Amino acid sequence: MAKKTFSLTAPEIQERYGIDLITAEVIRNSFIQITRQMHATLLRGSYSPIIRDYMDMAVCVFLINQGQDGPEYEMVAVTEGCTQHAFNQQYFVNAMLNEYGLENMRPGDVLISNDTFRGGIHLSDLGAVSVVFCEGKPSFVVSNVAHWADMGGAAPGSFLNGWAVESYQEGLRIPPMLIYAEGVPVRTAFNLLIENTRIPHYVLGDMRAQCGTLVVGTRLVGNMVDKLGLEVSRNGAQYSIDYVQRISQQAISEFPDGVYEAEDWMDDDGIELEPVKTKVTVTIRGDKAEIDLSGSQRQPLGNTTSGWGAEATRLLIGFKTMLEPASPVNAGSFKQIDVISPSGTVHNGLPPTSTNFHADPGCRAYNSIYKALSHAMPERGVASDYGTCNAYLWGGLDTRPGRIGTPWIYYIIAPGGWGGTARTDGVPFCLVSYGNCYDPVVELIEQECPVIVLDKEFTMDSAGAGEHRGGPGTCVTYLALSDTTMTAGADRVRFPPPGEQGGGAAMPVYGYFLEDANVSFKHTRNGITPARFMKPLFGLVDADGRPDPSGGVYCLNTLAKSGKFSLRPVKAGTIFRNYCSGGGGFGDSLRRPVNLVLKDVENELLSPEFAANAYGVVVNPATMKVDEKATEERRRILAAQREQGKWSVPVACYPNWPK
Amino acid sequence: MAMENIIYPRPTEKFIYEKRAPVDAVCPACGGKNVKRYRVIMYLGPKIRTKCQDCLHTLQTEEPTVADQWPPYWAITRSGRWKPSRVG
Repeated sequence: MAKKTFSLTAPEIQERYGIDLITAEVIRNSFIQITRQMHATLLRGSYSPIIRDYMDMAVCVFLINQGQDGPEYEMVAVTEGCTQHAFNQQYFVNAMLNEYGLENMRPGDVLISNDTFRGGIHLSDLGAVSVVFCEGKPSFVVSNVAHWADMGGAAPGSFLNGWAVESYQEGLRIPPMLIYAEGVPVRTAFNLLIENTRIPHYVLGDMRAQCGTLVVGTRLVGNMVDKLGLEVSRNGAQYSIDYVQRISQQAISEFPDGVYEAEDWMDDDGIELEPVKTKVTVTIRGDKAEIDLSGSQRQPLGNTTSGWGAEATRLLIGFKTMLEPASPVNAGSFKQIDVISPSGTVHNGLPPTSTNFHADPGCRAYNSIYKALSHAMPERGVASDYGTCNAYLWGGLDTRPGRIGTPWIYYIIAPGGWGGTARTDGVPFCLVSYGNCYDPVVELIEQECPVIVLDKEFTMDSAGAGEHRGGPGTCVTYLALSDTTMTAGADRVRFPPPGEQGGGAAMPVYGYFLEDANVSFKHTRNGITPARFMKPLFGLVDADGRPDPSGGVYCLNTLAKSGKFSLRPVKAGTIFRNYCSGGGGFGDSLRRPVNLVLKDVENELLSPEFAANAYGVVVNPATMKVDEKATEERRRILAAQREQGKWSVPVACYPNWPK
Repeated sequence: MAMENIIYPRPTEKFIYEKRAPVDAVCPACGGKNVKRYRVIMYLGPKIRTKCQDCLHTLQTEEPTVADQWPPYWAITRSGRWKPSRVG
């Protein structure tokens, strides 16, 4: 049977949109270019490292259409530094303008909000929106969202606060309100923001940068309309949205109809210390899909809950990643997919529950989509990425000469590995796939904050084993130069990132304090440090405090009882070592080509011991040669033991961690 | 002041499921009779849709009211009694 196609011919485009194909494509790419220029403006103008260096932000242009119940806002183009902001603004902009009322917006107004319960991600992500009036009519919307380094609340950074059980403890919650009215700053609104943050110098700069970005976007959209006319510009915008929708329809229709399920677990919520379940069911029928979170656990008491908009965002990212990753994102990416998200779950918390550590329910959401669809189509499969925000917030007043008394906040986020896929090994040194922000250079951190990064390298034996292994995890060590506090948000500590299609789990996350800087310089190689030099903060450890994900006990005699806690005092001179997970492995590790295993041993990503344990490859460490006969025999034995249920691929971790 | 849409207790059941109410209708797309009405998040945000469970065709999309508690949070000033000032 001929495959159904959703693409249009040039004459069909002319008939449907009243413009020729070339003009339509020029307009589509012009909208993308407008967002690129807005993105550059925000990047240049922002003050906070989390925006400027991590690029935790995105900018958009929307088309305003009249629906049956009022105005509807459809994203035309986006440029992101952080993937979830690219998707989330479709929900957030609709929610903000629906509540405030398009009829109340005037040229030069800037509307802001950061509210999770109104569709935003979390309080730290401030959304800003302006309406573009063309020929006197509200025609387009320009918007951006950027992660502020501090929004007040109990803990510096306003994120991860492990004590928070209610949103009131997180920081300043901003309903849709004007920060600029007809181009004039609303002084009371600025004062509200500046007086509720620990870093007013950053906040003022970031707010102005976001508003300036909207001015640039408004001018650029206006220039296009002046050149092409309003009707042609609007038709081109609609073409852009429909173009992506048709690609989405094509991709979904080529996926087999069916019902696909997966579940995953978070370690705990930091307070009740019980595992928290995610359940995802994907239904595909023709060119339509539904993603249902029914069966997920109720919202935990602690802060590990998401809002409805944040989690729908992460589910759609997982879905698009699996089905059609190449097309640009806009409203057309969403139209074929409904999300069912029962109120009161870990993925759609009821106000006023805390969503301060919304990040890791999101990781479970999109990794469950990966898992569900990988079962359906193994040839497109992806194993779990490292699956945790793995962030640690330090902040306070700088004590370095020349900067004494300057407030600072630093987001320690060590990058991890993504999962192996049906085609390739997992990507290393990334932030989680729904964020995928930049990992900033060390020198910038050290200039901005009283922190020294002592080492930053791959951890040997951290990647999940598989025919295509996961991306390796990392070991990063930080020295505090000023007294500070530490607020932590780490999961995948108790439950390591799983493999897929027989692949092995990756090394989970660990936190340690080190004795002194010499430990990094003299006693560490490939992330392996003797346990006697390290004091375990959290992790799956043995009685000696060594990482032991297969036989260890969750937080046995560790300083913290979970990877989530708040405001732990950290004295100047303290050294924190973080092991971030790798990605899960994909496929049978005994089928991985021997030369690739040897290459990983040569590159010190794999120890000869773990190469033998997990891949059945016998490498002589003295000669660095593979013993082919011994390898063949070992692989045969391991495969036979697996058949008998006596062997399974081990969780990644250096096997003989020194005491 | 009504609190129903501002402050909620934590659910007591451990695992939570979305309820889908059966609707007496026939799907115009596939002729199926398994039609249900339930809360969804579509591209425009939280709505209530009546959909065929066989082919996922949408028969109707409704704008939720405050009584639907969908989305769960509704600002009290969204009621028609609150007229906007120049700055909101």
